[in-house]
Amino acid sequence: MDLSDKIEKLLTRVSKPASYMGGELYSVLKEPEDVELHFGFCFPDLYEIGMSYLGMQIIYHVLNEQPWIWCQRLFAPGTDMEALMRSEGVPLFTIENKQPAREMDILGFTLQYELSFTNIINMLDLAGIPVLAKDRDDTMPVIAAGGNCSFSPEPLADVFDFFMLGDGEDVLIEVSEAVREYKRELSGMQEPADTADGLRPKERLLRKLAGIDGVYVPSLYEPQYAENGCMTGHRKLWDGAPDRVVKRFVMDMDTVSYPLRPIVPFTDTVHDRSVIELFRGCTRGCRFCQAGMICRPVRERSPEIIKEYSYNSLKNTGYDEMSLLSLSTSDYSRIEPLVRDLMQGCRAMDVGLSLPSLRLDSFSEEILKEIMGVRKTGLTFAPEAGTQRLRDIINKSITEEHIYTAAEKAIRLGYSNIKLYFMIGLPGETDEDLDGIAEIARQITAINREVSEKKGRFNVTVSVSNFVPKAQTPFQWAAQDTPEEFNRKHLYLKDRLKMKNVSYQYHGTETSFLEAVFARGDRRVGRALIRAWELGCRFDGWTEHFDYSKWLQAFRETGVDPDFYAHRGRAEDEYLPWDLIDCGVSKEYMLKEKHRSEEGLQTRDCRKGCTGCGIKRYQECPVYEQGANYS
Amino acid sequence: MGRFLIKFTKEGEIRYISHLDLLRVFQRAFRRTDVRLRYSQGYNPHPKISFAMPLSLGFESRGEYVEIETESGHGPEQIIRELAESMPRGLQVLACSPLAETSKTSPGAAVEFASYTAEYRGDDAAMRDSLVAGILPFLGEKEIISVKYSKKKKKDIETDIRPSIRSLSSASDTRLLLTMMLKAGNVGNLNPEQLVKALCRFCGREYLEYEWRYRRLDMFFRDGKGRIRPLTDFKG
Repeated sequence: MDLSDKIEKLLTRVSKPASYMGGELYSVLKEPEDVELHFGFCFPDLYEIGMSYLGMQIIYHVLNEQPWIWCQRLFAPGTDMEALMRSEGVPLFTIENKQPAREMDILGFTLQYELSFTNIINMLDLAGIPVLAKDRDDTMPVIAAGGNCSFSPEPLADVFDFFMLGDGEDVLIEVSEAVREYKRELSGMQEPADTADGLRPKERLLRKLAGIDGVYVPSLYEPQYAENGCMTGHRKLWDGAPDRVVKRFVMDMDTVSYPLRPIVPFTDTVHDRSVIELFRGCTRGCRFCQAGMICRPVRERSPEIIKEYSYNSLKNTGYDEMSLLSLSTSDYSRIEPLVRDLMQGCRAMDVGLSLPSLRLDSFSEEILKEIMGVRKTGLTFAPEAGTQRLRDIINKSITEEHIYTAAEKAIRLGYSNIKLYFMIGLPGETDEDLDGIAEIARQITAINREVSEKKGRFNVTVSVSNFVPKAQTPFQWAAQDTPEEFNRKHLYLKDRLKMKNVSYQYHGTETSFLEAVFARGDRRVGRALIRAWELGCRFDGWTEHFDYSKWLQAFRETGVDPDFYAHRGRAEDEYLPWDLIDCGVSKEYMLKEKHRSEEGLQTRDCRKGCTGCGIKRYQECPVYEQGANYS
Repeated sequence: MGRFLIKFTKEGEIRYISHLDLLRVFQRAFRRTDVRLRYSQGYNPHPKISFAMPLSLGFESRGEYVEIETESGHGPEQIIRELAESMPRGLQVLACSPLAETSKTSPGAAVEFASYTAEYRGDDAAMRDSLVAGILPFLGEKEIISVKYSKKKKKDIETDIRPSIRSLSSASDTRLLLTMMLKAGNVGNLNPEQLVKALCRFCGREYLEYEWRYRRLDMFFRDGKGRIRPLTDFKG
């Protein structure tokens, strides 16, 4: 019986069988014999999550544009499907061709979230592939990673053959070329360039990959530790390995390939709509924000291209909703004329336009009205901290006035749901800052009483998350609050937010703690990760699957002290496990920002003048005229 | 402007998408064409599109029907052509015929019978002989009691399914392929899986759902003269 028959037999017995069947509009089928390189794009979570991720659509498109590459998709199967796959001996398979993962030449995982790491281990195991890179020979696919978490790669350094840093469009093709050559060498089609080096083909491949800009090959380095357990450096095991790995940049967003025929899933996914990326990067410089640091500089798509892409994408997919994507939508230099034009187009096509990631201080009434014209959904703001003092510390440069003016505008326009995002446990936080959160919520309900013409329902949702210090940010040296302290603060807030028309949501503290361990871990924490998986952990980001006691057991059994990683403030001169990864922003700059934060000093938005973050060591930052009209 | 009845297939991978998902697939397929659907009035307008009869998840079909109302002036041939380019793999438009604008009966309400095949894909070699030999005595039973769990009533319900079986036969080749015509629609509707389960039990064979593959062949209505005719002939 062939694999697709075997899979089919399982599908009548699982929930959401369509997640495993493929066949969606614009999914790509090729003749396996016609392609030279089989690339398996792996998303370490469920299909419905992965299919909402724009990065996957971009990579799928960029790779499949090459006639010699076939990129197929693989997702983490649901627990019901996994159980059946294991009992019936069905290995992890590609959605498109129902091929075993092991038949791929490269398996490329995207690392979006620390709590999906156990799913990576599980997917490799389901594929019948040894989890540790050192246990894999030439018959195994090359296992690669990219995405945000690659900027702190050490926890997974023993698992992956290599990491890709930064924009993927170019580097993916370059590594694919290297692996194609390796394959040719293995099949005897091609003599290795230099047979006298005495290397196995895989070793030769890894060295070649290490020579590609933006590629980190962890097996070429050995971490060094001091007696107190802190890292002291990475020792090179091969002289040719680069001292530091600088991330890749794609600078021209108008010419880079973009999926105008993205795969349209049959089933309801998390974000079931057409997505157009406005720009990459952010100039704001919030000190907690990893994306804001690692995605610099800002690179915009021109309005003409965005409009063209929007129309074509909607026409090709048939979606009735469109969303603009970026780290901070309203910072797009020509946002108002663009939104006006897009609104007009969307109305003509009967399409709803959503604008996520709006900032309080920069969106105008005009845009609010535009959004209101189509549908009246809730508004979401992220003040992040409850007082001006703390917002200065984290460099979130909005004022109370911004918050209240924006809320008033929104209420006057008829919004009856306002959601506010905050973080607790930020460096320098005191209980007064928590009081500030409650005060903001109280003020907004007061504004509503004052100005609202409607007598009906009104609700302010205060959503609070736990601060996780991230690598490659000015807060990378900070200690995280203990779970006990987080819980105390949650109770404190819960008590103060007992107000009419205010509801309070908060995140689990145990998952935030784990996230902190893996966000700034070194190679040793990988052992705990694998042990936790052996004990049955997967889908740790899903409340119904998360089992904290197993994690504690895993840490205990592997001798990994999670507090060392989560709760310890790092010394400024300590070598950090991600120090050989260069995200473009320099360590000196992050340190300078840390000091400014300690003094409560804001740093300006770098559109108003360069702040010297270090990007210019590698790229010129494009300049966009703010608020300019474009017609 | 018009009302149309479209006949289509649901085969291959796409048989695992639900009724609700299929509705979205059609809505999007139309949005990719120039054919504009008519929308319902009211607070939450939705396009006028309705399926004649739901198909169980995992069943294939050569005879599905969907009724649409259009805003644009496309004729049946144009609709077929436009949709052919816009449909995902596995959904193939077979026919499109106009319905009377004013008719009160929907095609879905008119359906009285549906034909199916059930193919055995397991590896029990004795299954074929056993079931084929069982068909005649099975049909000879006065009543065939089938037990089905009712989600509504939250208990097992016993029904006599014999009156809902119009025909049941097996193909004359070496496979085990059952062909059947069953009551469908609002009164006495019988799912082929329920019948095959009953037949297996009658023959003392174990029924494992993943060993069977079902396919709907067509749907039928009764015309003014009482004749049973395929739904493509339905004019409203």
